[in-house]
Amino acid sequence: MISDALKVQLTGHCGHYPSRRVGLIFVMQKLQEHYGGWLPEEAIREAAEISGVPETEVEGVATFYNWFFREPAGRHIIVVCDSISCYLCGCDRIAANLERKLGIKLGETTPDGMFTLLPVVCLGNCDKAPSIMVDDELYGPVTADMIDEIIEKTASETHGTRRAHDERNRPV
Amino acid sequence: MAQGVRTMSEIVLFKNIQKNGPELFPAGAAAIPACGYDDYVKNGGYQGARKALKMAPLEVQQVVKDSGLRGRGGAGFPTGMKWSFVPMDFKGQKYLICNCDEMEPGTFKDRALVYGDPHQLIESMIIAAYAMQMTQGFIFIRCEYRKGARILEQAAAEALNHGWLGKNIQSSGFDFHLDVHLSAGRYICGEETALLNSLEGKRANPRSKPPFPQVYGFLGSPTIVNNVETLCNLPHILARGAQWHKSLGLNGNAGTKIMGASGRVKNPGLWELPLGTPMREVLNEHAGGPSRGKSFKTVIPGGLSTPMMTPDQFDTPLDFDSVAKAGSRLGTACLIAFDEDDCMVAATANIMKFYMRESCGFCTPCREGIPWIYETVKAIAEGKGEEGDLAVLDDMARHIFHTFCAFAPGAQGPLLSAITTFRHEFEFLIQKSQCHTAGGAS
Amino acid sequence: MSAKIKITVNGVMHEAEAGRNILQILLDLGIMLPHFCYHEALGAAGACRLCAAMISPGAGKPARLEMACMTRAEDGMIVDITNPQAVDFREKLIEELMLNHPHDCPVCDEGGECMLQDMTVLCRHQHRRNRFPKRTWRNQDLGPHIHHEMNRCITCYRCVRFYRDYALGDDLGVFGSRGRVYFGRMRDGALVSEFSGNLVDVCPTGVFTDKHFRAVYCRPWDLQTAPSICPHCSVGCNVLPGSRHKTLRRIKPRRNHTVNRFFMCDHGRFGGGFVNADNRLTSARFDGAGMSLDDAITQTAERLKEIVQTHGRGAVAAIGSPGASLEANAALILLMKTLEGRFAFFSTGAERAAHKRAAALIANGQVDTPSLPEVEQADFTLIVGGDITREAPMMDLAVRQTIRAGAPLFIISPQAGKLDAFAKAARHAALPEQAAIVSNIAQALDHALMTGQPDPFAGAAASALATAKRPQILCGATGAGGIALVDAAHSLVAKAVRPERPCRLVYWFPAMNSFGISLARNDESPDTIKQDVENGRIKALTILEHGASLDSEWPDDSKPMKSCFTIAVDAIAGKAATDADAVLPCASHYETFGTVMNYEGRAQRFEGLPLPRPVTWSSAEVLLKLIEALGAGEAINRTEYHDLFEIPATMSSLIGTLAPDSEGLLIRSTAAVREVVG
Ligand SMILES: Cc1cc2nc3c(=O)[nH]c(=O)nc-3n(C[C@H](O)[C@H](O)[C@H](O)COP(=O)(O)O)c2cc1C
Ligand code: SF4
Ligand code: FES
Repeated sequence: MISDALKVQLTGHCGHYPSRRVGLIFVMQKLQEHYGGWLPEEAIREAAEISGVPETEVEGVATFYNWFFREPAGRHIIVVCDSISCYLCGCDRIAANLERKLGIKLGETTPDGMFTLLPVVCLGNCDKAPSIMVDDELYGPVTADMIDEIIEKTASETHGTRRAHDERNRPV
Repeated sequence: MAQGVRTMSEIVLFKNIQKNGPELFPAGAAAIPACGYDDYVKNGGYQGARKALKMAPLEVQQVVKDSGLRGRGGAGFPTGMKWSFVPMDFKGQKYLICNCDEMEPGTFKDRALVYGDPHQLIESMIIAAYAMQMTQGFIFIRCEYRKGARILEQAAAEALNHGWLGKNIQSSGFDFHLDVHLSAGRYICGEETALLNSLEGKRANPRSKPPFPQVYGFLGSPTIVNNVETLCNLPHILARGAQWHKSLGLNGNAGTKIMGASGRVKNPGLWELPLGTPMREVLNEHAGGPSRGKSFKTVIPGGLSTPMMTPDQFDTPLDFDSVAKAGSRLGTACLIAFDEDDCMVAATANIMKFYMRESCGFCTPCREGIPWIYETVKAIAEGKGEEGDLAVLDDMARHIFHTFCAFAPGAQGPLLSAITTFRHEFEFLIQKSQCHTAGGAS
Repeated sequence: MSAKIKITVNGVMHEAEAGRNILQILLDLGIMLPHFCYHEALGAAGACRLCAAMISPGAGKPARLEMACMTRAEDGMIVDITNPQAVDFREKLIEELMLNHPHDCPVCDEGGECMLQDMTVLCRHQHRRNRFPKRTWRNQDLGPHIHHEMNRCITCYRCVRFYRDYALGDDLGVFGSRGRVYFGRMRDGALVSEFSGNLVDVCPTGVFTDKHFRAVYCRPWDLQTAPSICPHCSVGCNVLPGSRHKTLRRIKPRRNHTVNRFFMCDHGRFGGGFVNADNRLTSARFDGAGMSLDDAITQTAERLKEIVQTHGRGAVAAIGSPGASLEANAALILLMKTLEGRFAFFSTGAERAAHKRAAALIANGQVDTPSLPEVEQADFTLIVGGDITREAPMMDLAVRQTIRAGAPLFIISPQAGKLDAFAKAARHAALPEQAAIVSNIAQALDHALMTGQPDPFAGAAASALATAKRPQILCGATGAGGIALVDAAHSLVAKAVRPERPCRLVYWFPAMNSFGISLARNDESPDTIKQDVENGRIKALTILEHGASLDSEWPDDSKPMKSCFTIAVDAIAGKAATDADAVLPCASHYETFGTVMNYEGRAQRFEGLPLPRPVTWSSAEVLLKLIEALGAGEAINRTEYHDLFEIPATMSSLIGTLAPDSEGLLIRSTAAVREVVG
């Protein structure tokens, strides 16, 4: 459940467009933040209510875009560019290294809920290929040695862009 | 035929970014600092907008028309002409949208403009908005550029404080409100009609044209969608005149273009160069030649949607018409270079994977055809190719041209050129089950 | 209407309407250009890319491969669908669509009427080259009516374009993207739209199929069909029931362009169960003894004669049915004429008054009543007098088209309804109070001073009505609102009509043939008949088709029925038949032929399925046999419809010649006969 304050804020956001629907993506992004990095069904319902868009269509939007998650995601999201320039510069090696380091495959979340590892299309950092992005931070060119350092630095961050995994189902 | 590196005097779009540091994107987390309001103004910022606000809107449009500016989003459509389709007598709200989706692999030019010089973009939007009397603007920025979105929001707040946004800009009587919209991510959002749907809170399927957005766009109102780089030219054109802009290019081309190189080049990066600069110059002088000491095999000239070009075409001037004449497209002019050791079958599989993943799924050839192409190319690359595979690729490559939007034709470009130019690599792999290059892709 | 242009198709010059899409022009010409996502009602989407043809803007201009559905016809265009490039493109397109298709045609319910099958054959795709795994989906439980089989999906978007965009339902959607687009509900559960059954028809393949039809499966080509009319409400949708062996298997909408066109509601589609029901009357009965129908008719005739001889004129009476055909009700009236008896329709005198007033206004041409396609064109709608979603669902669907076009909707209804969500304003009030609200709108239209409190609802409705170009008022003539509501709606329309701007008026009725019986001459109020049954003045009562699935509260449970000899002519063992002294069974609606009049007064002919039953006579035939048994057979040939109903003599003879696939005949007592198609 979201707080009244957040609800008022998001409702207000939708209200300042000629059509409330224009605010939907923003509302969903905020709800995703609120729910610790993913959109549970409750969030879909709330987004529908706030934006006036039927729940079914909100779900249609949620499942269309790359950056909406309908399953729990980790506290930190690591995306590995696998588009052409990074591919040429060895992104497969980087991805394999990350998989080994985290003990998960691309598309998975570590059991402690700390990291989700995903492939991503070109990060617009092709001159620094291979590139990865961890939460909001861009890295490149990434070498195998850098990976440990990046992971450790990220794991030690107390405040990520996402809320802690275990807060997700906390009763309100 | 190399002409040497251009002099700094021609650099306008990058002026403030260069000032802030020699490197556009230092490795690691520490990004280049964005040029703030004061620095921007000190460097002549907002002069173009100031000038525009004193002119009649149609005069501004005329200057842009005269400047010969063509869209930098990929298609190269003359900007002034695009603007002229906006019905100026329309009674309701009209919208200006800046397309900063930049998700086409190999393209990274708009990032530099947004992260390095946000006020330049804001000033540009003021000018465009004023020229078409659009009082609401959006910057549609891809999800992975969320830092950029924050930079833009900060800059917009500064601009608002200094009376460059909001009501009655600089006491001109003109209002302009600017929102930064962070996308939820998908390459198809960059297609302008899909972008409109996305901005309206819908699934980003493209819309059919006509009606064109200039007449029936965002929420059914006249809307202009322009690329970041296209827009960023405006302050300079306004400040220094249409003729000046025209004179910047080579062989009758107007303006500069941000060109880039990535892949197998020694010195990947971005450079602002005259439109019409030969490809060879970019590859060899600016990008420092091949990175592994092997010679170049092919170059994709403008983002992943353009057909491959071979070394015999490297003298082609990088401008819209010359590259088209050479059988490819200038696109975003961000070159992707491959060398002799790269397996073009595996590379094609990588390219097709991108298109398969990012298709919106609306129309058949793209939704069904591209995954089949991908599976087939991947199988060939893995040495599991079969007799009829090339026939399938031939059929499908022709087929994915007739789709609802320009996405799948974008996939067709590199695919068709790969299976034509590098057919022997495909055949070799199908017959011998191994790549003809020694190492394959690294 | 729009200008005519010339286009060349496959080398032959044709005339066409400017601006229409090329695909529709071709289809109208009878040229089958393969397509999937295009649907005449849903329009072009450009998603499937199958309708590719070589199109050139004119002679000497280069032709390009274009999607015909997305191309507007212009004068001089040259279309070639036989061009090898186009033919090849279409073949490859089918190949793509079949990549992930399960190839389960032998066990697919769509088999035989599968558009994907047809198009595959038409495009000559035969050989599968794909060797990679197919994508598979999990199906959903979509409730009692619709079966879901996503693996067959070809992503033409027709389902959501119908369900969401056309019918404004919000519980079916499209999810995912790229090669993983899913059509379904957010979670398992019954589809809530009144129009969900149309998914079965709009889906070109077997994703959405009819669960009831599946339950006892047969191939569609083994069905016997008959053009019929839906018996469930006064809209009179054209339908095509299909039967196999001894049962009705399914009901589909029958294409036409003046009534329901492509679609029908779920109530009609899935409401044919009464035909197969266990409570069908199969044998005749007289005074408690079973016997043949012939014998029962003979004995009934004898008894009726005795009663008339003993008690004189007025001793026998009959109650007709809005759920029975014009022919059946006519035969009932004729029977009463023969016996010098009395007859009534409806449940109450008030209902009778309201119905007769509404029907007369339409028949006399005093109001302009739109057809469903015309309802869709309105730019202002006021609904008053009932829940249109339940009482005339397809009219609700027509109103939804006005909503899509942005037209304002105002609703006055007894309680909240589904259309309220789309209304500019909805007002809930008991039926008797609604006339006053309608009058308020009329007053507000006049800018006259309203009595009492100013009514903001009326004000808003009036100002929207005042500025509309094609306004309409839809009024339920169900009776509970009384004649006052019928008149109030008429007065409002009279006030709103201006020479340059018509204001249309619909009265919708509770039953299939309410309009027909409302035109009956010399019928009495049911109140007096009921009274005379109760006080013993009436000695024999014939009740026509009251046990049918159609709602009827009459006759009620009062005891005096016992002292009166009752005859039930019915297909179903409802209450009337259970209590009756003589039971004369007849065929049910879908097994017989006849004529009914819908809310517009459109007479439509329907035919029956030849189901092998113990009883195959329609109720009309049973009654005519009874008249013959009374020795009055010659009266049958002497009687015309206009002797019994308020119908012009000229139309009377036309009714007999109506064809089921015609547009029907609009019954108007004035010379304003709008359309007659034999
Ligand atoms: C699949 C696809 C993706 C596109 N992505 C972008 C993009 O990321 N940025 C962009 O500016 N234009 C993109 N475009 C081009 C836009 O549709 C549009 O032409 C452009 O924004 C117009 O701007 P311009 O006239 O300034 O070039 C894309 C087009 C297609 C078909
Ligand atoms: S070509 Fe078709 S499926 Fe592909 S992105 Fe465009 S509309 Fe979507
Ligand atoms: S290809 Fe990886 S950042 Fe561009």
